[in-house]
Amino acid sequence: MEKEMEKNIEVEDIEITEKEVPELTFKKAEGGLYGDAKIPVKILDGIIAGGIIFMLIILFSSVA
Amino acid sequence: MAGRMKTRMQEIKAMDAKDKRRFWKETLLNNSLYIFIVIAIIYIQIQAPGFLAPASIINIISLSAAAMPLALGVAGTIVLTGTDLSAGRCVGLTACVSASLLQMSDYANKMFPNLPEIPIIVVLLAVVAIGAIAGLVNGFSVAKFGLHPFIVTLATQLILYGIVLIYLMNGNNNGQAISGLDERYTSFIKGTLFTIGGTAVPMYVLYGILLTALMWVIWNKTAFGKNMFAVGSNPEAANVSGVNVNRTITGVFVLAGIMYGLSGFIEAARIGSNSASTGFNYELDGIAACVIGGVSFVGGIGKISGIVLGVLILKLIFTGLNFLSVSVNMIYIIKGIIILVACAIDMRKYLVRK
Repeated sequence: MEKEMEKNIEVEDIEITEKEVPELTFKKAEGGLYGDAKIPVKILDGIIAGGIIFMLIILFSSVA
Repeated sequence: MAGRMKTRMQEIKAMDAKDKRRFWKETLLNNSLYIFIVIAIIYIQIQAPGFLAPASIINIISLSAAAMPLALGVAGTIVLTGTDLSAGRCVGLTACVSASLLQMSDYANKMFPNLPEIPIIVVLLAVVAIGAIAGLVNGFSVAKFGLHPFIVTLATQLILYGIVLIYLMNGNNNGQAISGLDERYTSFIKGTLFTIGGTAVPMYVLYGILLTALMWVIWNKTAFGKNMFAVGSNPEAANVSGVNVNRTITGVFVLAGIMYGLSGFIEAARIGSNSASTGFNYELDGIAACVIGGVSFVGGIGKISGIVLGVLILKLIFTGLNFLSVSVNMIYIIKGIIILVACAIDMRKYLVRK
């Protein structure tokens, strides 16, 4: 008897018609202000490393 | 915290050599700007021992407090995947308006000689209103017409600059810098809050703290703040969830404008002499502080604590470079590189996640 009831509940729980499911097909706007930038990560690594090294050179060369 | 660190260390130990190398490379690159700043602070302190003296630290905190409202305003627009290039000029306009309305009554070169004494609160509300109108124009154009904030705020920047130049030609001023500010005004902004070791902490530090607290509440404890992050993260999802996207975008820009108005009000009294160049490039400092503080251009990411840290770090590094007598021209280059590197780190994190 109990098993039968459980079966009924299960059937009721999963009975979702297509209309009831909202269509959530939207996609996040990729990248925000970066847009669809396709810059390779290696180039970004280069920019980061180059920038830091340049700033360190300026810093250390500022005092004679 | 200690337990989490221990688990992390165990995870690192369990990695093979290749993964370990990759982990340290990622950590080093993602934190490279902070590492540079720590090295710079240590180096500057060694070269100029007065750098971290109490008086210097109070000066850095004061400079940060003055820059805070602008950075907090810009941050909201960045969270929306935008930016605000008109921030500096808006500060300039509101600073000039504040200064012109609060000059000493007996000052020889008073801009409006027949102007009666105006209560400070009236001027404060006036500049807040000016900032809000500028923000409303920006926000409305972005939200309603779907224009990119970069273009809209670039146009507003030029318009505001033109308005400043025209405004400075009014009365007896003839384009000159506005000075001779009323004692009530200067003491309201620059008056001593308290002294530490003989160095006065100005009143505007308190205002900076109050505005930061206010923004924290708006960002974290209000529906508007939650909506802002939702719109910044995914406008379409926010829209289907019942968030009024247009109103949120406009609100964020208006709030930013109010912050610029307050920033201009503080700045006018702080610097004492206001001209068309007041506020020039302030937006770049604000944007740099936000990006350093972890407000992502990808949108929907940012914390008030990060912005505060970003502003403090920027002021710390530029005050330090002044201590080392690095030329102003070089400081501009460093400022640009800091923004570039911070953006590269931000973009790198985004691409790796993707």
